[in-house]
Amino acid sequence: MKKFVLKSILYLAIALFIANVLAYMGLRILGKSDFFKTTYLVHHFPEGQSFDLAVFGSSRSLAAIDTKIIGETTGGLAVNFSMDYTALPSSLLMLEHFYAQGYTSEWVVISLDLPDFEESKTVISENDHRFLPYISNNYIREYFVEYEEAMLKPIAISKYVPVVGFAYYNMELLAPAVQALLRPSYKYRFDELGNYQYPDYLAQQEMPEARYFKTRLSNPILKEIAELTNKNGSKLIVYIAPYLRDDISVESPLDFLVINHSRLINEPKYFSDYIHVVNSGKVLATEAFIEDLRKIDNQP
Amino acid sequence: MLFNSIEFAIFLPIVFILYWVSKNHHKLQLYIILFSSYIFYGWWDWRFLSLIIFSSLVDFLIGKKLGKTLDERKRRFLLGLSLFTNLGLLGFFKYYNFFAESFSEAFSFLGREISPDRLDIILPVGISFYTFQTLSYTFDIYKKKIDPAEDWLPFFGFVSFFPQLVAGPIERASHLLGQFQKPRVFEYSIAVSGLRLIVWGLFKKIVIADNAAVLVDEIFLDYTNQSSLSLIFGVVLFAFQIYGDFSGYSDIAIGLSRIFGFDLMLNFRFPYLAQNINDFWKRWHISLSSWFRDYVYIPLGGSRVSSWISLRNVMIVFLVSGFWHGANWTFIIWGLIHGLLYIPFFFRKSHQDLHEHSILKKLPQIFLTFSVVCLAWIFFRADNLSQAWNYIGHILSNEGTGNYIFGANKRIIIFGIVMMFIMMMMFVEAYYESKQKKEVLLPSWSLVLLVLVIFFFGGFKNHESFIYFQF
Repeated sequence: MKKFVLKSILYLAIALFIANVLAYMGLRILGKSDFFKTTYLVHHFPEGQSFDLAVFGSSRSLAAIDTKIIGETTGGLAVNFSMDYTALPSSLLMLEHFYAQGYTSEWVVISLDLPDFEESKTVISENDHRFLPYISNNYIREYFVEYEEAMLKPIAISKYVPVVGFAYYNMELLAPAVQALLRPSYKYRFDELGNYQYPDYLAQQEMPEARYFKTRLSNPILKEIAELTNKNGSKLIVYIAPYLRDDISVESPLDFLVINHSRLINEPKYFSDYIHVVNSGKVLATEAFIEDLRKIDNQP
Repeated sequence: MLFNSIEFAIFLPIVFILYWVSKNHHKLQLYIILFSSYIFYGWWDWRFLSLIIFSSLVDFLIGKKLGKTLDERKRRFLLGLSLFTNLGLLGFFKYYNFFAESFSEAFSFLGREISPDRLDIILPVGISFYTFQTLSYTFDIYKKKIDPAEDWLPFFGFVSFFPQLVAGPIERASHLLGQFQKPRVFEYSIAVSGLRLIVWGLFKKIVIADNAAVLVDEIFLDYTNQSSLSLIFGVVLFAFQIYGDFSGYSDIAIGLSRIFGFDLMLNFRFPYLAQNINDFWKRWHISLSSWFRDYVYIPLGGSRVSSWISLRNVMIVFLVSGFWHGANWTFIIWGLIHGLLYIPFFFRKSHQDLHEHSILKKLPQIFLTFSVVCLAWIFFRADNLSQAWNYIGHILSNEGTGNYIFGANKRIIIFGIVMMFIMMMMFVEAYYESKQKKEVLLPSWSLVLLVLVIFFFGGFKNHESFIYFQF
């Protein structure tokens, strides 16, 4: 029996060792590439880069704000760091990730979606595994310790055993790692200013019945974001991107500068679904955003 | 507790060490097996434990009484009592709602509305497996094939043995109970073969079944919009999902048992290399098909009666086999299809030469058999009969234009990975089939490779329970 146990342990140890080395290499390759926005943010810009405007949020702000148009109009450097399938806690993490690189931005735009106005769920978002290459950074590990639900927190423990997180998200990480090895500068569904667009042919045909929401900006994560931007000398704007059917009115938004464009566009042809604008809608949304930004900037 | 869970990864080494440390204390080993099996089973829901203990107790007592009684009437009564108790429990938990709804539908068809009195019942995991196992014990004592267990402890261990408790193989007392009654010796070569089977089973479950499940579920959910090709992919992937899932579980169960010094019967022997339906049923879920052969087909007269009655018996076995899988007409039709496909082999008494070991020469037959098995899988997988018929209709009409698999990069990657490893598995199985082996016997070095494959290609995020737990 002793021989059996020792041999089993030996084989398992060999397998685990090789698996961890491969996983570590995979994460290193991804971490050194531009493949995900999390890795692009680290590698594409020089340390200490100063931005004029940086957008953080979900797929809604990714679809609605075109930082290329903003840059061309204002003459500054604007980048969209929004990531699809994420919620407000991920936006805060991305913002921390942004400041951790020594970057600064005059304006920080935080896009807010309906589920995150008053509180956020304590769960990780669909694409949070994209932070895995930087799990050794405390702010990232702490996030996963707090938000990962399972008994075994696969991403959190990847700091010590990289194969756990890599194996758990293998379908999301393996092919990108191979791609990143072959083309380190490849960006997955965004351009050099972080933009992605939903094509016009996805446009909706019918206008749905409107829904009305009265809400407050009471989410404690917003307060954390405000403190972080304040500490790093950025001015914070809370942005509500256009909805096709949802009319959101925000009660007493005195604590924050708010651009509420939830009812900016009322035609289905500008939307790919109820929450994302298509490319032509993006132009309208961005132009309106620039106008409101100017108004805010000109306020005494 | 699932074999592919963290809890089990902690549970197994503890039980293994405790068990073999007590190798000189046979009784203590049995207590360890029994209590660890109850912990394993109670992990789902501790209330289920009362059922398995009750079932074990009833059959233990009835078995003892049967062994002592010579009066045939009393013996029949005792057998009936065991059947009534076990099938009663199974019928209540598994089939009550089905019968209630079917009666209601039958009456509404005749013009009378009767609302079905559905009960909110949780199906105890593995009830069909351990019920059949305990029933075989009583049957065998009744037929005087075995002597009743004198001691309760080995018998209770036999009924609840955790490696095969929830999804088989369905063991016979004549094969397994004796192993509980005598001391077990650790044999290195057998334990190593067990470990190899465990890794192979995990590979089939985690890499093939769990990844295929992601695609299969969505294709069956949105089958009305899918193209013929997509629907065909859906059913082929399901064929390998259920095979990877169920045979993977069986391999792990057999492997675990070997590590604990037990020998379980073979449950799958490369079924997708079968050359006809008759051959398929000698390879697929062998422990269940042989159970029905021994305890249903032969008692009904088997092949010793006229051809037509024998054929009736065959059809009864296939229908009951389908119904055993679940309280749904889809399973009954699945059994019926297999029964109908079996008829030509029933009348063609001369046996085909299935000992041709060149897989290449038999590829057309293998492909044809696989195709008809896939056709029947549509019924097995569908939620109801109309969905199954519509699924087939959409394959034939090609009305849909969607292709779920090719609609996103991630799905293409999953599909590519699943197909690559299905082919690998089939090559490995074909190799061992050609060597006339009954199981895959991988070299030790390949285990490291398989573990790496499981880590990097396994469907951990889409972690699924074993399909057969619901039966």
